[in-house]
Formats: sequence, C-alpha cells, structure tokens
Amino acid sequence: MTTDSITRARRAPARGSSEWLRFGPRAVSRPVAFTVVALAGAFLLLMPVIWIVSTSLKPDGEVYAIPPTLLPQNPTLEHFVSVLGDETVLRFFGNSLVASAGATAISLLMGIPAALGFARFRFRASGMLLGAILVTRMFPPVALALPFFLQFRQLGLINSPVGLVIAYIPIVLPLVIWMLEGFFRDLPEELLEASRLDGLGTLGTLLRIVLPIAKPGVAVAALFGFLAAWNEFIIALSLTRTPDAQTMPVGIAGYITQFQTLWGDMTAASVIYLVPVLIVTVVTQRGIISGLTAGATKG
Amino acid sequence: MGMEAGSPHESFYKEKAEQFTAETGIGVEILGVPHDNMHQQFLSDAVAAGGAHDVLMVDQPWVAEFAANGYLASLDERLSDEDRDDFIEGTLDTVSYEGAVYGLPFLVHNQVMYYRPSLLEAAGYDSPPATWEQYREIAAATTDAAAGTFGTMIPGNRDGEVATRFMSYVQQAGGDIVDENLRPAIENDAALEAFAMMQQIQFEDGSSPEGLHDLSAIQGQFLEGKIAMVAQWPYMWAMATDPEQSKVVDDVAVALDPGNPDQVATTFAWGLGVSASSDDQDAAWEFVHWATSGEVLAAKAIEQLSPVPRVSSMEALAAAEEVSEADRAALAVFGESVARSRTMPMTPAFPQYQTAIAEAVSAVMSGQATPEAALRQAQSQMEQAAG
Amino acid sequence: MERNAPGDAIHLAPRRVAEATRAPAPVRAARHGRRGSLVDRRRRSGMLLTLPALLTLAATALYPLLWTMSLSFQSFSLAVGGEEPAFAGLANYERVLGDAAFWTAIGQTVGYVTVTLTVELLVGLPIALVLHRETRGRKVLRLVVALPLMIAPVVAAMAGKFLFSPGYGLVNEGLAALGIDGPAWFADPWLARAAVLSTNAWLALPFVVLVLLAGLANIPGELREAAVTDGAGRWRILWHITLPLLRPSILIILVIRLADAFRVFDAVYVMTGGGPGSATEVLSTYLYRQMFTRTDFAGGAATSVLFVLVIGICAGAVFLSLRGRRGER
Repeated sequence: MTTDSITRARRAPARGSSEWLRFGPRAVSRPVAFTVVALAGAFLLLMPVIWIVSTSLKPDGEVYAIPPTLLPQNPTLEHFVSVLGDETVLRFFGNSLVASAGATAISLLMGIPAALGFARFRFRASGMLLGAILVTRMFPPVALALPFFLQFRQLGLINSPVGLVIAYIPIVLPLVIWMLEGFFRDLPEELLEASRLDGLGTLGTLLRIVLPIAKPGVAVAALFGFLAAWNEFIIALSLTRTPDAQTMPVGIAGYITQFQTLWGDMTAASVIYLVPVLIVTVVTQRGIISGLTAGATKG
Repeated sequence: MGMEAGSPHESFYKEKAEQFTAETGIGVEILGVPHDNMHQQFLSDAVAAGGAHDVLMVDQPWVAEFAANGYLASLDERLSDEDRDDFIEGTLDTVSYEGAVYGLPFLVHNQVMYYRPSLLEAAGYDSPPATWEQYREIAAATTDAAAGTFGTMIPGNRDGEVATRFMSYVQQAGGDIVDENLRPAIENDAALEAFAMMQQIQFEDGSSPEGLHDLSAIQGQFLEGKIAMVAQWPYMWAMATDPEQSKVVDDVAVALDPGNPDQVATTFAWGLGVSASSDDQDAAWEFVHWATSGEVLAAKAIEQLSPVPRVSSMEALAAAEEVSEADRAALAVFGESVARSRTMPMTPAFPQYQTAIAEAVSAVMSGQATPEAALRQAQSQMEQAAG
Repeated sequence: MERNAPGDAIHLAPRRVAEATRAPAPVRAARHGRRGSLVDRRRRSGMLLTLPALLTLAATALYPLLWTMSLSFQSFSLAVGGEEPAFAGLANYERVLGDAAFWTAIGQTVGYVTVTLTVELLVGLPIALVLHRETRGRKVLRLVVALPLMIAPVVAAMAGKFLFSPGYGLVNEGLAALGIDGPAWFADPWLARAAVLSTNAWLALPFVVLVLLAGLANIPGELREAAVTDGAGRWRILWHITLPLLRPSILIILVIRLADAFRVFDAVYVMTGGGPGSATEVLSTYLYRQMFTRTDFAGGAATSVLFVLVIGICAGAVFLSLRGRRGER
C-alpha cells in the first residue's frame, strides 16, 4: 500500500491540474476527416476568445463592419491606449486584485488547517460539519447579496473593497477546504505517524511536514479560489457603487450604455483582465511541477 | 456626483466642472453610471447611509420615488423667486413632488421625428407624415429591404426607454397609461391602437428591420443612413449634423411626431438633485444651482443645439450667432413639441410602471403575447406596484 | 458566480471516481487499534484546526442565511424614517408566491437547468471520448477545451451578445456561409434562450469534459480489451461498459452543475436583461430586480429562502436517485 499511496497522493491532485497542459508524445495518425472535424470544433470553441482579442485590435469603424471581419484588417492598439490611459479602468483592476487576493489569502490561512483537520484529525461531528461546509457551495450568490447588502449598509461597508473581501469568503473558503481536504486525505499515513514519533505537535506537523508536500495542492486551490472571486459578478454588482470599489466584471458590463456599447474599449479591457489569470496559471503551473519533482526525489 | 454614462450631459459637465471648481474652490468628481443601472445604483446608494454621490442626476421618473422615500433633499427653501421665474413655465413641475421642488432641471424635452428629406422625395412625398396612416404609408414606400434600408424602426427591446416610446404612442392616440387619479389604466383603446400600428409596420409591412430595437440601435442605424424616419430625442440633432458621427449630415430634418391624431410625445426632464445622505449639502446645492444657472445652461444649449428650461438661456440661444438657420428650425420644432405635449405621471411607482410596460412591449414585439394579454398583465403588475 | 469553480473538476473527479471504484483505504481501520489518549489528542487537534474556518463560515455564511430567514417573516422599509421592522407572518411568502412573475422565473429556471445539463453532457461526452484517445493534436485540443475556465462569465456574455447580434454578429455570418438566413436571436423567446444557454454551456464545458476525462482514465483498459476480444462493437462497449462505469463522474457533474446552473445570472443580465418579454427571466434576475428595482427586500428575503429550498430539493433528488441506482448493482 505504501508506495502506491505515496504516488497516488502526489499524482491525484497534480493530475487534474496539469494533465491538460502537458501530455505524452505518443501520437497516432487519424483519418483526415477526423482532423477536419476536430479543427472545426476547436475553432467553434475558440470563437468567443478569438473575437474578443480580434475586436480589441480593430479600429472603431471596423467593429461594426457589415459583413463582420474575423481578423482586424487594420490592427490598432488605440483601444489599449485608451483603456490603459483611463484611470477608472485601472481602479477596477486594482479593486479586483485586492478583493480576490484578500479573500484567497484569508481562505488559505483558515482553509489549510481546516482541511487537514477534516481529513486527518477526525472528531465527533467532523463529517457532518464538513458536509455542511460543502453544502454552502449550493447557495446562490444572489441570496447572499441580500443579507450582505443590508448588513454592510449599517456597517458602512457598501462600496468598499474590504466589504468585498468579506463577502467573497463564503464563496472561496468552502472551495479551498473542499479541494484541500481531498488532497490531504490521500497523504500517506506514515508521514503523520513519523511526525508524531519525531515529537512534532499538530502545528509543527502542518508547517514542517504537510505544507512542503502539499504545495502543489495548495497552489491549485489558491488558483481556483482566486478565479472564483476574480470572475464573480452579482455580489460585486450589488455591493459596490463607484470605481472606488467596483471590480473589473462590473466595469466591463458598464461599457453597455444607453447610447452605445463601446466594444473596442470593452474587449481591450477584457484582454487586460484575462492577463493576470493567465500569469497566475503559468506561475502556479511551475509551482505544481517543481513541488511534484521535489516530492519525487525525497520519496 | 453621478451622471449617465455615455450621455452628452456627462461630457458637457465633465468639461465645465473645472470652471466651477476654479470659481468656488469646491472639487467635483463626475462618475459615469450606465442608464440601465442608474436607478438601482442611486436607489441603493441613497439607501446605504453615507452615499457615494452628493449630487444625483435624476431622470424625471425617479423624482417622485426618491422624494417619497426621503432620498432627495428638498430645495424649496434654497431656491430664490428670481430663479423660479427664470425657469420656463411648467418645467419645475417635472422635478416636484407633492408641491415641493426636489431638483433643478437642465433638460426638458420629448421625442420628435427625424427624417431624411431626400428619401421621402424619392418616394414621392414632399412633407413628413402628420398622421399614423401617412407614417405607415411613407415607411413602406421608403423601405428597400434588399438594399438594407428601411422606412423606420419600431422599438421593442425590454428597457425603460422603450416604455417611454410606447407611452408617447398611447398619448398620440389620445390616451394615457394612468387615469386622472394617477391610478394605472393601461388597458385602453389607445394602447391597443398603438400596438396595432407597431405590429403592422413591423410584421405586416416589414418597414422596420427585424429585431427588438432599443435607443442605441435606432440612433446608430439612422446615423448610418439606413433608415428614413425615426422618433428620437433632441440631443441627436447635434450628432446628426456632425460629419464625424453622421452619414446623413446634409440630409436630415426634424418634424413633430405623427399623431393619431395628436402630434405629441410624452415629455421628460432630467434634473440635478441633492442627495439627502450627502455629507455636504451646501456644496452640493451650490453645484446644482451653478450647473442649472442661466449662463451654464445657455452654454449647454448653444454647444448641444438642444433646448434648455430657462428663459434667459433660450434668449441667449436665440441671439447666438453660431446657430444656423437649420438649427433654428430644429429648435423651433423641439420647442413646439414640448409646448403641445404632456409629461409623465408623477407617482413614486412610475419606475415600476416603466418596467411593466417594457416587458409588455417586448412580449408583443417578440410575438409571445397578444396586445390584449400583454396589456392585461402590465395592468396587473402596475396595480400591484401602485399598492 | 454562475458556474462551477473549475477546480472541483480537476481535483475531485479523480478522487471521487477512485473512491467509487476502489475499496476505502485501510487507514481508518488501522486507527481503531490505537490507544484512547492518542485518539483524544487527534480529536482535539482536529477541532482546533477546523475552528477558525468554522467560526468564519458561521459568521459569513450561516448567520446571513439565518438572518435572511428571519427577515423573510418581517415587514420593513428602507425609506428614510420608514416603518420599523415588525413580525409579518407569512405575508412576504404570500406576496412572492402570488406573483405570476415568480412562477415564470421558477419554471424557466428549472427548464433551463434541465436542458443545460442535458446539452452539456451530450456535447461533453463525445469531446471527452475523443480527447481520451491517443490522437495527434490531443494536447492542443485539451488546451482549447480548458480555455473557458479562465474566462469570466461577464466577458463571455458580452462576447455572446455581440456574436449573436444580427448584422455585425459572426454567428449569423457563419450561418449565411452555410446558406442559412440568420434570425434576430434576441427577438425570439426560444432563440434568445438558446443564445444564453449556449454561452453558459461554453463556460461549463471544461468542467464537464475534465471530470469525464478523469472518469475515463479510471476505467481499466483490460475491460475494453476483453470486450473487443468478445467481439463487442464500438457502440456496445460505449453503452455497456464505458457509460455505466462513468456513472460516478456523471453524478458529480449533475450535482455540481445543477447548483451552478440554478444561479445563472451574468449571461442573462448582460445578454437579454430577462427579455424578450420575460422569456429569459430566471430566479437570480427576478430576485435581483426584486431587491434593487422594486426595493422589496422583505419579499427578497422570502424569495431567497425559497430559492435555496428549490436548489436543495432538486440537488437532493438527483443525488439520491443516481446513488440509489448505483447501490442496486
């Protein structure tokens, strides 16, 4: 069981997160028809992203061209210049960053020990409590918007990035616990046994033994916790009013005005909004791989 | 202060605000808010103590609601008699609720018919339509679907703007959406005639392009030169005559909306009010007063070629040299259209009436409901809102 | 957040699928043999480790929920100097349940959830089967399928709004290339629903495909080989071997996507605003309008409670029915 469970523990979370990013070189040739269908399908799937990037590079006149153009005929960076020169867009961006990073950090701080507790230090009712936490993932966020709005109104937290951090915790924290609990459950029992024999307390076990091995799992949980907050819309829409606290999704939706929709600027802002997510993915991707290899050499 | 994003008022006041700051030392930050979200943003802002806005730009439909809920500060005591006299008669009513003034208007307007004389002439008509029958006939005659040009555009999107357009139709047919006690009463013949006209033009004649149109589509298509006649607000005149924004610069004129038989359109106002939750109501009032002063409104009128609600400003506009003959003719139409029309009912439930009407129009124009059924549902929703 | 947090797919799938196909690890059994004091210490550690998170969630999730429940039985006004909160019995519930628009929203939400789950499985399964094979370009294809994970629903909805628009939208341009005259999507109730649904299905596809892929990876290759030896055709293998073994994955997809599909908001808000008529009005947009347009927060509290109940009942029903059937085998 030992070797099997060790490899499984390391592979299980990493598999999901990175498998789609790296694959074996084995390739088998298939009929041309299959390739064509696959390419057509891939093109359809990519369409919205292609459109966003392509529109962000089109001059205003071309955005509404009939018939529409797939790729910009006269590419321009004018929308990026205009969006990056717009102080409010930078504020949206900063608010998104603060709210998402804040909620993720707090959720990891509380979620890592909690996940370990639920996975490896069972106590009476722990199963039930874990179940209850997971059930909160079923709450529709719009139903959370109501109590938060009414409470924040009295606490002066409407239109505040701090308010958003608080409101995102019930979304991010259960997600982090859920993901990490599975990861910790697959840790080999021998590890904890060894730390007990070494006289490490619970906290020591967490910091010295579990965390170093769990790095890839934590990275994945952090990434998806961050994404959940970064992409959240309805709570931000309900609890913010001005660019002092509004996040990117709210700002982007605001490009639809009664008079016109500024598609060029909107798509340029969207591209800028996607960049940090891609960076975080790439960075944590590296962390996952290095965490994996480090674990492998030790094992 | 919060202002409607993308509107000409936002850009005008953004430019002018520096002048105010230079004169008074009071800093102003103008925040654009999309119209669709304005109501709920302001409402929840006013609900949330210590609101983000000191000055609120209020669409007339919201005045009664905000005033009734105590979100807007009364300006009665601050407003001098001299100022009262300078506002054109009736315009202060658009920002009043139960006898008190809750804001100062910078715009009182309604929709008029923009048309392209060359297209009408080519179809054999030398004057714009005065009745719905003529409107329908000319719309069909100027439609060339194969070439992508249409006679007109019938509104149908689900938004407040489309509801105001429908109200104009109802008033043109001699009806209204409420009775004399401001109780909802939209199940009437005028409303049915309005739907019949809209359906005939949209579906039977095909003189309006396929789809549920909203303000931005109607404006965009007309300025692109694809449409012969559209009902639109006065602000579009400056755009339509600007070569950078319009492809119909030398081929655009305005007239009163066609009637059935009344050539009217529901009048609406935009005003500036002081938020009751503002920390500095004196400064807010100072800005509101300055922004609707004779001098600033005159500058706004001349720059935007759009009517303003102050007598002195309109005189300045009439005397201004930079206003062309065509502009004067258009301004005269805008003025007459307001003079012969009625405003909307001043009731706190009006925003919900708008929602109900928008839903009904959108349901009929997407073929989901008959006019009778849609009006019945709108009536029951409006009654529920009125309490 | 109207779709799943994508991490669920990646992380949970292999684990849950593994659980379903393997006997539980012997770890727990071993623990029973230990001395009592050790067990006690473990319990205490467990409580201490989980306490901060439990308290935080009690304050940010449980308390808001309970408070919403209590509000749903009160009447109150947000007007300045408005009425004081008072017990109102079932008045809020009566108002919501008596509102035809609420029933429209419920009906359309349940319909949307049903269709969207079906479509996602029907589209996701072939894609997962293709990606599971060792095919040239599989690497790139998997990347393509995973891409929507990163895209915010609001951005996808804005893109959808433009792509489906008549005239300058690329969807109708593509249809025209096939000789089909593209319709005005947002002017027709069913087409507007289809546009919203396909935008959300696009966002959810990575989740569905990744969970199915993880499930497929756990099916032993020998089973397939044995079936091939027995002369079973491709479709028979799919129907009699692959699909039954994928049941745990499908259960995960159904339960998680069900809760996510119920909260659909972003795409409706951005693309249709609930129109045409009320054809795309769903519970989230109804509740949002009830709060911020009608400022009926007391009624909103009642709607929230009903909303949570409906999700709970549906998720529970799906879970029990599928799990029950698995038990029968």
